[in-house]
Amino acid sequence: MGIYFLKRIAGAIVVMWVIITITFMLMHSIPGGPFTAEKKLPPLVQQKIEETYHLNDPLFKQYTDYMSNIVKLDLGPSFKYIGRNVNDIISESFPISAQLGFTALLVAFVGGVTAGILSAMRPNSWIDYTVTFLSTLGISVPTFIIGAILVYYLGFQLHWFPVALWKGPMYMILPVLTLAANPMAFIARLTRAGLLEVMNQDYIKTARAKGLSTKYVFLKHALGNAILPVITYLGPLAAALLTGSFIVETIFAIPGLGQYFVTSIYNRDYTVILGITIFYSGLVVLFNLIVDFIYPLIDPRLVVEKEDK
Amino acid sequence: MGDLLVNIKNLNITFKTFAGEISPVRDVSFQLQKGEILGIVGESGSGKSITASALMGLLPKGKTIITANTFEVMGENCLGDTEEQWKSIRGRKVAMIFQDPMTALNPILSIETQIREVLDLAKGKSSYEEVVALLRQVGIANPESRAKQYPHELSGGMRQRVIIAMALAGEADLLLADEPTTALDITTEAQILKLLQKLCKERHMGMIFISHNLRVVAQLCDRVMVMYSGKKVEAASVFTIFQNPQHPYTKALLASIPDGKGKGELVAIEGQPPDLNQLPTGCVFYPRCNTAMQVCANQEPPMIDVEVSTGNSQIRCWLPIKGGVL
Amino acid sequence: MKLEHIKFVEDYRTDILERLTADDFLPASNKNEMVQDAFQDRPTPWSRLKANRLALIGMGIVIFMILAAIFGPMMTPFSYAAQNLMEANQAPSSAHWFGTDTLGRDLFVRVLYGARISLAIGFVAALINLVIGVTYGGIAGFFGGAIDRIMMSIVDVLYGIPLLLYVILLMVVLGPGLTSIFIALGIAYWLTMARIVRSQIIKLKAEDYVIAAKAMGFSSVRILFKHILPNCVGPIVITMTLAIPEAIFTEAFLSFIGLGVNAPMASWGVLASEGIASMRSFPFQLAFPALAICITMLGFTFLGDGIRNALDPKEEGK
Repeated sequence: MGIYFLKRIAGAIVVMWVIITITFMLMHSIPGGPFTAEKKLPPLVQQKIEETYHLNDPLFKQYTDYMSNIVKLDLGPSFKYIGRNVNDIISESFPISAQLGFTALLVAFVGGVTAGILSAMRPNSWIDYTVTFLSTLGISVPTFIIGAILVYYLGFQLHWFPVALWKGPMYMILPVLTLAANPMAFIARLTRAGLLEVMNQDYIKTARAKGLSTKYVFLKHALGNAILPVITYLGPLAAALLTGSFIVETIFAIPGLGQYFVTSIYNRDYTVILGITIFYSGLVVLFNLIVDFIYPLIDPRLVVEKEDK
Repeated sequence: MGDLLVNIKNLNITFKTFAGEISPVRDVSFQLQKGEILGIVGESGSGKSITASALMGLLPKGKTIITANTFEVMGENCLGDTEEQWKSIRGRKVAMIFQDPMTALNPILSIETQIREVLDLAKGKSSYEEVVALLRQVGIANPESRAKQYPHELSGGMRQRVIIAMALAGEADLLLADEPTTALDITTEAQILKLLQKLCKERHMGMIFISHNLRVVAQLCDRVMVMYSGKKVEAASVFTIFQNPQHPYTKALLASIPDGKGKGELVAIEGQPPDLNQLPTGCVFYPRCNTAMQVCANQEPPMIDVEVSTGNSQIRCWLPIKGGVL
Repeated sequence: MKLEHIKFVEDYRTDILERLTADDFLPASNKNEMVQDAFQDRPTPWSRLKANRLALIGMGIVIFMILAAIFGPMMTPFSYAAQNLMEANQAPSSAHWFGTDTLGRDLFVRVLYGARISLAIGFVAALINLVIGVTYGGIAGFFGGAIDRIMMSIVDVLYGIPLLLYVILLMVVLGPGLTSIFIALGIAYWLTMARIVRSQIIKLKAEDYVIAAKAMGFSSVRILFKHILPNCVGPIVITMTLAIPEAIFTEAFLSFIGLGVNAPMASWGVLASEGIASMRSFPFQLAFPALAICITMLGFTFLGDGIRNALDPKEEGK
């Protein structure tokens, strides 16, 4: 078991290293380079950047410098905003995105699993059809369209919810729903399919033959096994919530890191783009690692292949 | 109840499918005494597993119609029992073990947990020591550590022993074994059979042993019922079945067992069992029977009790009547 | 009939017994007619697919969209780029079926044109994924051993990267435009296909009939082409059917962030983003492209589900 964990951690470190390297390579392959004078940067910024990035050093030294900066968790200064560091930007706006993200994660997980359970308990009932219909819709409609619909109907027409900013619980409802819609639908489908497949397994027959009640068999024997693919999905789920936040924060004018990211893309603020990319990637790697640790707690077989999702 | 664990007369099981109604079990009757081992033999699709499942109410509720003149399990009439009623006898009065030990155990629960479930149901409480004792009884070495392990850490034979232990934990008097050794290799199979035999005799349990393997049935069972396409075609003591088979199907089955002497051709029964949606009129074995007569095509044969040198045999066939006519 | 010494276990209809004659007990003559072939026509995947109504609807939608994309723009008088500021923001009418956008361009033709772009992106990206993925997974699976281990370790590492972020990054580096999108999407998403192809090949290599073919002396190449590849088609088709909507989705996402195709070319994603900006006052500008996207997605989802169910032998009729 210990070896399993060590392997996972080592894997995560390798992935991070690859991420940083790829990011670095991309950074230096932008046509004309992000640091050239053609960009017409204010001289102060230009100077700061040359200091930080030692642009006159050979490429490999730049690379190692960059690496050591990253390890020190220093992501460099912003192009656009003189005097502001990428780190500052992140620490200011990430907490808001984290709130949005975690809430959406909870909603998606709890909502999706519940819907899947209800649906699988009574196959071909009206509950089942409703859940199946809604979840198929949920994975087919792009997030920004869901957001737009919610904003239009619940915000503009009915005035039930505010449609911008992030000032309290009421402000959270529409954005969280929008962000959670896609993943929740996916989880519902995953849970339902998993449960239906598990219910046909031999060990369920055995459990029933032992005289256990249907509810007990469902909850303890079936659900425990069916939830495994959902746990596996949590990793990609984190990545999805992350990228989804770009859209949601933009539509709802939420001052989170996602919106900052989108703005920095628009502004071609390269250091910010790259810094946030590495930060986000690190988050995803970390989250995957946590999931890898949780999984064996439920499944003693240590099935580590994550193929065939 | 006396000693009659199972008393079934004229059992019919019908499934409602989207293609219509099909009856995989038709007019089957048999009994089982305490301490007796009855073998149910037939090819795939003969209805033997479905019959066994019916004895525990394990067939899907909404889609199954069960009728019978008598349907007594453990002395109680179980026809039309609800799920609640079935639950009270499952595990505790009747236990079942299934064919594939690799998939019959829940992979994410420990052995101990899964056995204690049965103990808790039967006795209201359970303990680790009881689990260990049970595992020892079924011949598992190092039961103390095995109890804490998970199914994937055990071999197929060991898993089957665990399943038998679970069946015994509820102290049932009737054991239904649905092809329990089909998925095992020959050596393990022999061990499991020996174990089953020993436990049955020790505990004076009745067992219904389902198989398509005649050799195994010959070793283990006291009496045998042969099923074909949902019908009971022959029933007799194991000795009689093997020494004096009466029904053409039984004879063909026995003839198709390779005699291990390396000579002669492999004999197979020509044709296939009929489609349950298109059952023939008359005898269900008619298309494949070597001694078929005109009447066999048109009329379902009656169940006749035939006396042979080694005992009595019940067969569903027109042949004995031919002797009466000519 | 002398039946007294026959012991019936259960009562049998005496009328039937009485009607029996000696002729009835003659050997049967017409047995051959009754021997039935118990092998019913096994449902083929195609027939199972046809039976699935949702899948058929999905297929219909997809085909319709493809046809609309190819032939649609030819059927209207307007060009997708023609601006006419005097007719800006007009609601749907008989002249402009979908209305016009903020620059007076006819929305109907732009949606149709968007179909071309979005579907093209979907198919081309999926195709690139296919080629890269099948080659990579094929090599790994077929040769096995160390080659397989190394190649799959690379895949495992790449799997840990949030790919969409790097698609974005690639788009920033490559600059917006259709080719960039093809490259970015094609490069990023081949991992799933590679894994699936590889695991399918490994599974097939271990199947008895392949081992038998080898034992009979067939060359590896022949085994590969006759036995292994045909059986890979199923999972490949399923993956592709799901990859296409994912590509369209991703493109819409990129457009939303401003990294999509260049104006005046319009994919559905671009149209939807433009529509969101004016959503409050002119909702129809969002509604039509959004509907187009959703319906197409649904179509692919139904079709993909249906294909998966049809090819999976464990699925019985619901």
